[in-house]
Amino acid sequence: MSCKRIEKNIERQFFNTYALDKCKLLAYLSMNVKVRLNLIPLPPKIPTMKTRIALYIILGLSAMVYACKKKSSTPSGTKAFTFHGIKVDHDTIAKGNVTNVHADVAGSVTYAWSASAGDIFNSGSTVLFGASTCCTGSHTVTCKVTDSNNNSESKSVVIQVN
Amino acid sequence: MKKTLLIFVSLLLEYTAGFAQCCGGCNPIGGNTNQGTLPKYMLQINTYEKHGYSAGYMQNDHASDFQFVKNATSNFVGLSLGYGLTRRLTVEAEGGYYINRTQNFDLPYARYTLNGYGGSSVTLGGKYNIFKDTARDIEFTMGIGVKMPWSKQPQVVNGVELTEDVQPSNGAYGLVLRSFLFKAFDRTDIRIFLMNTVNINGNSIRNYKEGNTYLTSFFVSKTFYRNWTAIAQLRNEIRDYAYRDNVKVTSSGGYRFVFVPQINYNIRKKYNISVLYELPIYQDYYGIQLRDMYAFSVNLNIRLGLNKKANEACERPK
Repeated sequence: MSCKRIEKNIERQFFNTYALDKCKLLAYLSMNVKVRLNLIPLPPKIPTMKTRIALYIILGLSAMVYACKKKSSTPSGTKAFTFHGIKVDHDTIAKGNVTNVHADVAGSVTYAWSASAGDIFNSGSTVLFGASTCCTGSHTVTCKVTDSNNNSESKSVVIQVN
Repeated sequence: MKKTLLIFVSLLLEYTAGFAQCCGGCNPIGGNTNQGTLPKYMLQINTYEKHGYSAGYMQNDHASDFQFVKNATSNFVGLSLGYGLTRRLTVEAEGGYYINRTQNFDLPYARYTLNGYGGSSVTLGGKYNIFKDTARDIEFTMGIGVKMPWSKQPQVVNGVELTEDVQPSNGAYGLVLRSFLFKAFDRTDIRIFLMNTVNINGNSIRNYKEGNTYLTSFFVSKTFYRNWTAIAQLRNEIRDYAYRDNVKVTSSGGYRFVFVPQINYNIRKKYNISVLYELPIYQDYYGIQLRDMYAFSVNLNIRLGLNKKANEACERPK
């Protein structure tokens, strides 16, 4: 029996808790004498490849959750604009056509446009709204204006696409 | 999300440092599509760039005279990492980034362009080899993955929220189910494989749900000269209707058949470079939709054995 094999068997017997000085053991066995076991505690286990991969995945997922935290913004002064409303050239258009949409605002603001469906072209106070075949039906176009103090206001208009 | 992916990718890449590299493909290379399991301790890095072009409209299976979008182009970069955790189980991470997703409009008074760009989604999952007969060269594998959007918020460019058609991410979680059946014929050096992929999409925060997709791909591959392999793929794609606010979008979904010829070159039995061209041969769209004309991809596949066992598992170098 080789040193390595003896060591393995003994290790299994002692539930991986202790290892033996293998050469000393071999010498004792060859002399056919009663062995007095010299128990040496094993060093702590090095993480296996599987454990390391699993740790990396857990770390990656944790980072993902952390990265998803939302930033918030709060107003820091008085509102410096008046948002009168949104005007459209045509409130009903055929698919494949477009219409002008204008935000009537007094004051210096930035504009953020969105639509429940369809395409918005250009930017600023006047944009063009159009819709392809995907978007027949009634759609809401929204304009959110924000001033330098982070005050904002939103208004919407409904455009029918046939 | 961008930070997260970088951390995740760098962690996985870091893990490869200092290990010996393997002999190369034990499983077939099939372009940028997802394949079977990897041998234990083998890391696969697959990256590709895909260019797509669409123009004109189709109503069902014939051309339509509808005009709105003149043409659309996209350039997408994908990265997938796979690792053979056990002999039968492979874990995977996939991500993608749109360099651009553009629609050009030729409207009566002016020309406009809408352009989206950015991360698409990240899929984390695994594949389990259910059946493998090495004597007869047959393998059957199934996989599952969870798809996470790069961003749940729609992209805004110059103060305008982009339409779904040019958004880089659909903003929704999803589930990906896969199966993979492989058979090799040693005498003729021909390999065939059949892959099924089901993508189940959830709702975005705008309450838009992209249609689920069902893909069936049949591949035939043959090494025809030294390190050169030719692959022919016939793919069937079925896409369900999309839903907006739980109302069916009638001009969405459809089905088509795509023929994908591909050439693969193997370098030092470790790296595979592929070029593939996607040509739709039959398309049937529900309602009226923009027509996909073609797409082509360049793909780089690297397989690294992270220890001797992985190298030994490569019984039949490509």
